[in-house]
Amino acid sequence: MNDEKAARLAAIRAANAKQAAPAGTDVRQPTLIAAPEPARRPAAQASDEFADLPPALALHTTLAILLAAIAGALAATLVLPAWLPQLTNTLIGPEPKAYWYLARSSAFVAYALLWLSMVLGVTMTNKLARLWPGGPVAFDLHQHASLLGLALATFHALILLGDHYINYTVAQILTPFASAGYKPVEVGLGQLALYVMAIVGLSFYARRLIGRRAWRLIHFLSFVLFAGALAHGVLSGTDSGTLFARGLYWLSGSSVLFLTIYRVLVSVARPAKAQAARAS
Amino acid sequence: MTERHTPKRAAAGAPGAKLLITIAAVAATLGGWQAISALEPPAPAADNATATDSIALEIPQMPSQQPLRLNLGPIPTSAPPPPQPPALAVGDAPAIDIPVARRPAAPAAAPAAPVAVAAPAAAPAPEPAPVVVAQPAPALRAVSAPPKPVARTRSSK
Repeated sequence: MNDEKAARLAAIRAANAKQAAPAGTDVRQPTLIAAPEPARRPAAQASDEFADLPPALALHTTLAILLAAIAGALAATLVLPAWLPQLTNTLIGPEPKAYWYLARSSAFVAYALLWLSMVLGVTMTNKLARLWPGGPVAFDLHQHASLLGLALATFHALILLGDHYINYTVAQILTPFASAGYKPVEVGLGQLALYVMAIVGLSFYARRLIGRRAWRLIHFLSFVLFAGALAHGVLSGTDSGTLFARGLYWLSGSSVLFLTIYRVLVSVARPAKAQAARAS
Repeated sequence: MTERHTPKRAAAGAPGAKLLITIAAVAATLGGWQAISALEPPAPAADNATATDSIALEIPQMPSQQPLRLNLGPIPTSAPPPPQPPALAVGDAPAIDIPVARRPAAPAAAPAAPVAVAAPAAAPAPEPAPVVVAQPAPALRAVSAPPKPVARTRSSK
């Protein structure tokens, strides 16, 4: 009986060793295949199973994260030590000016994003976006720039609550033409533009509910919104007289005007072309 | 497997460009804050100073018309101060009337001044006798002099 048991055990060990050992390995030595082999077997199988899965992050995402890390490190080591003392000075004191400065800077960024959104939207409708960057990409960026601009415009309005010099109340911020202290009409234009911007931007989410026709009609308000924001910036902006602000207003206004005229001409010429084609 | 089921529209988006726009917007806002605060003229120092600071820096001004009076105490010495000497009053000196020969008349252009009298040696012409102009002696002032020191020196021995 003992000999039989020993023979069975040897046969089982030999079979196991045959399965686990790679090709060319001498399986006749049972002492070499004793302990670690059962652990290797599932690992090898697992690596075979997961080899087909795609990487967790796409290559461009990984590159973007790496670039962001490098930019963040550079900012922390070079920019922050140079900027922080100045920025801290604007935060201290009985009347900190940081709110006022942030309101001004965020206004410019919000206006630039609105301009980018306008340019992308108009180039989509006049088919220029087909040349670059492509229709779907242009639509994606148009929507993103619009919503980001809405966020920054809201920040621009609400951060003024912290400024003790101009001393706005919540009601004055929210109600158009209610700011009695400083240029109520010009400021009111900006307030109206912010509300229209919110309607146009949030209509992206309600397109299926309101229908394509209503959505397009709402989108036509973008031209009114852009004109209102431009007038608000030119007439009531503290930095309107600077070279940077004048350049920005001229460049943005003229480019949107040019693209709009081009769009109108394209929309007029297209039916005429179609009619001519039908007639011939 | 996952990529096969990804819808086409999501793949057409530009997440990298959107991320870039977002980061650029935030960076521009912060950079604008820094730029505006750097361009703004600095606030005057009085804005930051407290009332205590301004009081502490004030220097009392003396009226310019008021004369400065020094009220100094006695200089501390190791020896007791000597007794005050009695006030001495010296009377007028007795006038000595000496007969003087008449001086020849001086030319009209020459300035009559005690300077000419004081410099007889400069006169080229020899004169028979020195001219002494009798002038009343000025009254002596009353002075208070300290007492003569009573010190014994080797020479006095």
